[in-house]
Amino acid sequence: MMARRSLGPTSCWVFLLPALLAGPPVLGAGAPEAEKPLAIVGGDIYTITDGVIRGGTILVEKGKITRVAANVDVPEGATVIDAKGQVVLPGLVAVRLNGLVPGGAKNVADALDPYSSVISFALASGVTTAFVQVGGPGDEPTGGSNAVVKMTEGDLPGMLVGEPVAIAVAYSNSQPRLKAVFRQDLARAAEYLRKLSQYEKDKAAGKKADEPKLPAGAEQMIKLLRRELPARISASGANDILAALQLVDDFGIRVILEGVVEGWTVAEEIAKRGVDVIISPRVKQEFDHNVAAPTGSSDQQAAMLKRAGVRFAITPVDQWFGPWGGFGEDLFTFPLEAAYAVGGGLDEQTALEAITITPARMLGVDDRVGSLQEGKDADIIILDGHPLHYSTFVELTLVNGKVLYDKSKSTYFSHIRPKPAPPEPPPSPK
Amino acid sequence: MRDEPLTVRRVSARSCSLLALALLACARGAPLLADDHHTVAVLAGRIETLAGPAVDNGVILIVDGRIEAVGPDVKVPEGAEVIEARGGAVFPGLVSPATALGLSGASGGKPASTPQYRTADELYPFQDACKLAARAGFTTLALWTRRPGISGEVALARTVADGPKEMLLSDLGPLAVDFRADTDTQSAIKGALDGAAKGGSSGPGGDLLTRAVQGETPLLITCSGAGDVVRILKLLEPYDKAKPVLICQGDDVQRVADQLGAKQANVVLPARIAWERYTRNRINVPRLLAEAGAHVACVPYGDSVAGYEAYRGAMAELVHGGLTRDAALKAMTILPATMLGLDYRLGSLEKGKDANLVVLSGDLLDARAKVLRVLIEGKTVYNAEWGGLR
Repeated sequence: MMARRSLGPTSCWVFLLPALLAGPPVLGAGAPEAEKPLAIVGGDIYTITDGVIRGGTILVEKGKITRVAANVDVPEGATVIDAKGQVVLPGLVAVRLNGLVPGGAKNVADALDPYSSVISFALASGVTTAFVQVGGPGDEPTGGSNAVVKMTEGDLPGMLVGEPVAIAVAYSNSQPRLKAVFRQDLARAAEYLRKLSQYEKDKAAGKKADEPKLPAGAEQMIKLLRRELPARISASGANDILAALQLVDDFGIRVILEGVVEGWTVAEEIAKRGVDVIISPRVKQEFDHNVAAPTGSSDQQAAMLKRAGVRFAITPVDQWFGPWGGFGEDLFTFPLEAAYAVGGGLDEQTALEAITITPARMLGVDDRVGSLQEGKDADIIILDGHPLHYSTFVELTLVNGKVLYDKSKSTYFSHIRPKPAPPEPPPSPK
Repeated sequence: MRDEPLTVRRVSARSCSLLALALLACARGAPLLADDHHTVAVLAGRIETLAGPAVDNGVILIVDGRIEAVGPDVKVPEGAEVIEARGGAVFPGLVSPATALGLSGASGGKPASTPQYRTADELYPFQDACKLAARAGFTTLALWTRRPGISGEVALARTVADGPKEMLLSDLGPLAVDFRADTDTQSAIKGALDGAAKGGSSGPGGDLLTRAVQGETPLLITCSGAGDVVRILKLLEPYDKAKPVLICQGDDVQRVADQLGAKQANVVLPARIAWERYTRNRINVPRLLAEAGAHVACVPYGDSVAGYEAYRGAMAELVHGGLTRDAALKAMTILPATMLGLDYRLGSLEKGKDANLVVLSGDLLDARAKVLRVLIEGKTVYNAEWGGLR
């Protein structure tokens, strides 16, 4: 049985020392241990979907959450993680993660590496699920492939949750040719679908009819038109946002807008069409001196989108783990991005949703991840403080009920651990 | 052991002239006269046979390029060329299981299946890289250029020979595969191996694919890290007769040590103490994999002459870091030979094997020891007394 306690900085080392001397970790040391039921007790559980349970218990069996409540009897023989005084959160969901998969692959599944250092970084930062894209639109309006990936370190088959989950579309006023091509493709596919339904009606009525021909390359457009997959469109300015909204009006497709900066200026329009938005509250953009209407970034964008009723996910300015630069604005400090939205007037609950359940919903994986609910994957992080506070660290990360990151044993933050007192200087010669 | 100059002693004047004749014949590549066997005796302070315990003050008797006898009480026949190394030690010639040393073929390119590419056609022996490898103790190289997908046929080559044809140990070589975790490379490899497994492929190089899938020749496959290992083991699952050799570059393959150990996989690793990724921890990957039960061979870190020259020291560092001396010596000789399917003639000093050996003034792993002489099939191809390459 593994016991964990919340300890102050001074007593922490006292706890660490025996842990270091005790030899190999108890948790995750073989299959039978993983099959044992697991209980996380005493922590403040931020369920995201059902409020906060102070000093509650989470039971995990076979990698799934079986119970989340205030008063739960811990089953006999369960592995217990003591999270007293700590914060328990669902694993964070990154709505985009770059760098996990190298370029060159045609789909994500062919290039996943379960031992990638990016996974180690993700686990240390509390990210357990991410959207990953390889390639993208180049000379064509659509391109590349994408997937939702879980950070099941060492387990290749467990990584892939869904592929693809969206269609990347280049639809911007700066690329008018691609815009026109995309509209044309959509219109052609829509015409095909209209003819197809007429043909099926005729056939059912016993009329003679020719089956319409599937236009070349229309499969993706049909997925969009049937709303099976959303289009992910980069649209930072109001003009691009409104152009994308026009697509919704004309073709009824689902749209996720990425990198939105001027969303606050057209929040009502976005809300009206139920379009999803991805924002980075720390992105700054100066207003346009030549335009009378409001332009540029606003630190209150998140709060304003919320007021208008727009669903949004939050992503850091740099959407990767970059130990070589961009530190502080990348996924290492993911929750900090949400904290900036709170600084701009957003409520904490929505800010936390924007890095957990909302991206899970946008990616279509909210049946498995994004909140602490019975039946969901046991992707759980335990923090040593408030999730949106800058000095908070991830203490433990569990994916599918397995501890894959333990700050007290990992080397990544070893330099921040309390260090032992320096040894006594040798006696000076007399 | 003392640092003593080597002397070659002629037993009689008659044998001297015969020897000259024989050497002349060798140089022309013509067979020796049937009744005139070329005999060499190496007298060594210590012989590491790699086929049993070391022999002190022993003799290696070589007849016509093959080892006739090894032991303390071997009689030196009259007329033999005698190599005096009583103050030194003898080891099997070193074997590199994956190298592009001295090749000019361009690596890289688009992923494809090109089993018809024969490294043998690219050999260019009139440069010194391979000879310099010989000076570092190497007698055998598995040469090939990395091209994503099925790279082609490996050339099993001597480090020193008179010409490209003479370099080759065998007309047939193992299959070389350059693995990359991307869609095109994986489908190129899978397509080629599948084709060969289903009743053989008739295209150019198809016989090589068939031999590799049937396990008649090894399948050398590169992988950059632990993630690739997982994929390769899965990819090769259907071809249970194949004899894969995983040529790893990564500093994280120790993370799949259990899987590789359980399979007793053939793994080739660079000889160096690596850094565990993004940490200050130094790790001895060859040691970790050897202890897990994998067969570990080591290649120089850095596929260059400088890398080859640093190889013995790098191996010594691994031993200093906990790899057993026995495992290190095997990783340099008999294990790579076995992985290449050449253990019947290379990798140890036993009767019947090719007389490929390195004579040093001390231990192979001692950086102070000098390579005094290198013999390939009984013929001296490097001699420190020459004062340079020949």
